Amino acid sequence: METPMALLSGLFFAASFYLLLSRALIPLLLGVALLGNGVNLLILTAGRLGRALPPIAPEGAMAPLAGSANPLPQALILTAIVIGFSLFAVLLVLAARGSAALRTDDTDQMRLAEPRGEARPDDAY
Amino acid sequence: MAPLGEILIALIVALPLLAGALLVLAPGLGPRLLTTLSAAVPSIGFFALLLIPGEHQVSLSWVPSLDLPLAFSVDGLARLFSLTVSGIGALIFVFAGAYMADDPRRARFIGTLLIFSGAMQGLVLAGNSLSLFAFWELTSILSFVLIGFEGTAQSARRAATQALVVTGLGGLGLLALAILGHMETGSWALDTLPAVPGLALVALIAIASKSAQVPLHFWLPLAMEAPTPVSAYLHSATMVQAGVYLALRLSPVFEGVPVWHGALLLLGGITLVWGALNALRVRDLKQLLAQTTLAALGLTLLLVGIGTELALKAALQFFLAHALYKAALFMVAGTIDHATHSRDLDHLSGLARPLPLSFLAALLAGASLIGLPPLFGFAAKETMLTAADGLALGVMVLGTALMAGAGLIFALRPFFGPAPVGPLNPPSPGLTLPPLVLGLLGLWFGLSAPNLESALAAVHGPGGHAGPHVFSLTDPAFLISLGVWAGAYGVALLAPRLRAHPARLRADRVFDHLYFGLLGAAGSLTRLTQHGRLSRYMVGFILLIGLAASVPFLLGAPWPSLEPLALVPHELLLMALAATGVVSVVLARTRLLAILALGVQGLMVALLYLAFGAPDLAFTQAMVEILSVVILALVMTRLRLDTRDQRPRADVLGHAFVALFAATALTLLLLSLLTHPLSLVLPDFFNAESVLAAHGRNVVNVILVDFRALDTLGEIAVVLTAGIAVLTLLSKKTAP
Repeated sequence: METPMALLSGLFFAASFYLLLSRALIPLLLGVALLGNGVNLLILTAGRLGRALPPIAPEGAMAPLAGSANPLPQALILTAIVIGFSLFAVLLVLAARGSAALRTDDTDQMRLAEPRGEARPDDAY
Repeated sequence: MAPLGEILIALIVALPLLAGALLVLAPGLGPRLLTTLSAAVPSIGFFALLLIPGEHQVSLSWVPSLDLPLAFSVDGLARLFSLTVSGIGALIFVFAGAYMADDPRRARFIGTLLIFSGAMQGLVLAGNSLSLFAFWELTSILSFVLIGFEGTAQSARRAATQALVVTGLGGLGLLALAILGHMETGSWALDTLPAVPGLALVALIAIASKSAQVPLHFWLPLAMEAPTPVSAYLHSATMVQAGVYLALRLSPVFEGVPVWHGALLLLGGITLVWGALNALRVRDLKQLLAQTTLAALGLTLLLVGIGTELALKAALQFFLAHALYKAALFMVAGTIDHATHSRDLDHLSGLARPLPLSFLAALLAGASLIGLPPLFGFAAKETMLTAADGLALGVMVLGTALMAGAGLIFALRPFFGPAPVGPLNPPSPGLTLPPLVLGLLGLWFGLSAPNLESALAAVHGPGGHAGPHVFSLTDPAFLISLGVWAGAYGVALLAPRLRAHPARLRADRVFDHLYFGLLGAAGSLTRLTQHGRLSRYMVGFILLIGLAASVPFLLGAPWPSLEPLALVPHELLLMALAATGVVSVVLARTRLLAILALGVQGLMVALLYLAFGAPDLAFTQAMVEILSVVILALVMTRLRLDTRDQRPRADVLGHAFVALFAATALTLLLLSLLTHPLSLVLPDFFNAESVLAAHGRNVVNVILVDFRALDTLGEIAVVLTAGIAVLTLLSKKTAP
C-alpha cells in the first residue's frame, strides 16, 4: 500500500512546488499549506502503513496489539501539523498586512528590504 | 632567574599594553602627568632589559593543545631592537605629550601609542613564529588606528586603509611562513626553519610589505597623514623596521639561498634609489622624510641581501644610526609644523633664529644622515661602503648621494633665508629637547662606537671578527664618501628644479583602482545573486531540493522497483479524492475555488490518517484544515486582490518543469527508502514502555507528553510565539 501513498505525496510536492513558484501571494500560501501535507504524508509512509488499528493499548493489556500502526511517525506528524499551522497563520497575516500596505500582491513588487536599483555607494574611503 | 626573567619581560611587554589600555579607557589626565607617566613606561622597559643578562628565554603557556607557548627570547639582535624601541620611545612620549598638549584627545592618542610600543616590544622579543605573528599583526592594526587618528578626514581614512591592507598582506606571508615551517620541522621555532626558496619567498612578502619596499612602498608616504609623533615613532624608527628585523632574524636561516639574496638586493636597490629620488621631488617636510625612510629601509635590506659579516654589521649600525637621526628629524618637522603651521619647503625660511634648538638638532641629525664625521652615520656609511662592491656599490653610492642631498635640504633650507613673516607659536621644551637628545646621542655613538658584536653574533653567528674598523684618510671607502658628499651638494642645488616635476606614476592610485574594482565586482556579484525577486529565489531553492534528492541516484543507487498495487478500494478512493483536490488547487480558475479545493484535499488527508490507524492525526488535521480554509477565504475576500492567479504564460512550462523535477526526485527517494527494512527499535520501545513506565494507553499521546515532553514544550512555545506575532501584526498600532 506504500507505493500509491508515495506517489500521492509526490503529487503533493509537485503541486506545492508549482504554487510556490508563483509571484502572487495567495498561490504561495496554498503552496505552503500543500507542502506541509506532502511532508506529513511522506513521514507517515516512510514509517510504513498499518491498517486501521491505532497504537492504543486495549484495557487490561500492557501494550498495543500486534499489527497496530507505528506510533513514532504519528507523534512527529502531530507536532508538524500544529507547527505548520502556526507558520501558516503568521505567513497569512504577514502577507495580508504586506499586500495591504504595499498595495500589491506581486512578490516581485514587494521590495522594501531589497529595493530595486539601489544606488551604489561612492568610491570613497 | 626564571621568575625574575618573567617579571622583567612583563615590565617590557605587558606594562605598556596595560598602561596604554588604561589611558585609552580612562582619559582625563592632565598633560604634565600624562607625559610623565607615558615616558616612564618605556623607560622602565629600557632598564628592565638591561637587567636581563646575556641570552634569556621565557615561555608562557598559550595554546597547549597546539604545543604552542607564548615565548619570548632575548639575544643580541632582540636587545638592540628592544632598547631602540624603548629608548627612542621614552623621548617620543615626551615629545608627544608636548605636541598634543592642547588636544582634548591626547589621552586616547598617547594611550594608543603606548599600546603600540608594547606590541612592538613583543614583536622584537618574540621567541617563536606564531608569537611573532601575533605581535606583528597587532602593530599593523595599531598603525591603522594611529594613521586614521584624524578619522574625519577622508585622506586619513584612505591612508589608514592602504596601510592596513598592505601590511596585512605581509602578515599573511608571515603566517604562511609559520605554518609551512611547522609542517616541515614540527616546531614553531624560527631559527630551525629549513633553507628552502619557497619559505624565503613568503618571508620576503612579509618583509617587503612591512618595510615598504617597491612595489608595496606606497602606504608609507601616505601614512604621513598621522600626527607627527606617530610618523617619528612607527613610520621611521620602529614599526617599518619590523621587516628589517625579520630579515636580520632570518638571515642565518636563508644564508646562501639565491632567491633570498637576489630578491633583497633587487628590492632594496630599487627602493633605495626610488625613495631617495622622490625625496628630492616633494615640497612637504614630512614627505621628504618619508621618502628618505623608504630609501633607508631599502639600503638596510640591500645590506642584508649582500649578507657578508661586514654587510650585516653595516646593516645593524645603519639601523641604529637611522633610528636616531630619523626620529629626531621627524620631531624637528613636527616642531616646525607646530610653530609655523606649515611644512612647505618653498615657504619656510629663516627659522634658525626663532628655533635655535631645533636647528641644532636638525644639524646634528642631518649630519648623521649625510654621513659626516664624527657622527654615527659616518661610521655606518664607512662600513657599508667597505662591505659592498660592483653593482651594489654603485647603487649604494647613487642612493646615499641622493639621500644625503635631501638631508642637506632638510637641515639647512628651512633655517636660512629671510626671517619668517607673521607670529610664531613658540615651542615648549618638550618639543625641542627630545630631538636634540637624539642628535647628541648620534654624536656620542659616533665618538664611542657602541658595541654591536652580540647583535652581530645573533645574525651571523660568532666568529673571528675583524675588530674595530680603523679609520684612515686613504681608505677607498672614505674617498667614495667624498664623492657622495660632493654629489649630495650638487643634488641639493638641483632639487628646486626637481620639485617642479612631481612623480606621475603613483602606486597608491593603482591601489585605489584595484580596491574599488574589487568592491565593485563584489557588488555586482551580490546584485546578481541577491536580486530581491522571491520567485527566482524559489527556483533556486526548489532546484536545489531536487538535486539533493537526486544525489543517491547520481552516485549509483538502484532505481526503486514498484510493488504491485494491493487494491483496497476505500483507501484508493480516498487517495484519488485527495489527488483530485490537489490538482484542483493548481488548476482552479479562480482563487476562491482553489481555496475550496485546498479544503477538500485537507479533509481527504484527515480521512487517510483515520484509515491508517491515526485517529489523533485525523482529528487535528480536520480542525486545522477547516480553520485554514475559513481564514484564508476571509482574508482573500477582504484584500480585494485579483480573483485569478495570473501567471505569465512564458513561466508556466519552466515552473512546471522545475516542480516536477524536484517532486519526482523526492518521490524516487521515498520509494527507494521503502525498499529498505525499517528499524523498529523505537516504536517497539514506546509500545512496550507506554503502559509500564508512563501509565498511558494512547502511545502517540504518551510520546508527546511524556517521552518527548520537552519537544512538546518547545512546540507550545512556537505556537505561542506565532500567536504573539499574529496579534502584533493585526493590531492597528503597527499599521504602516
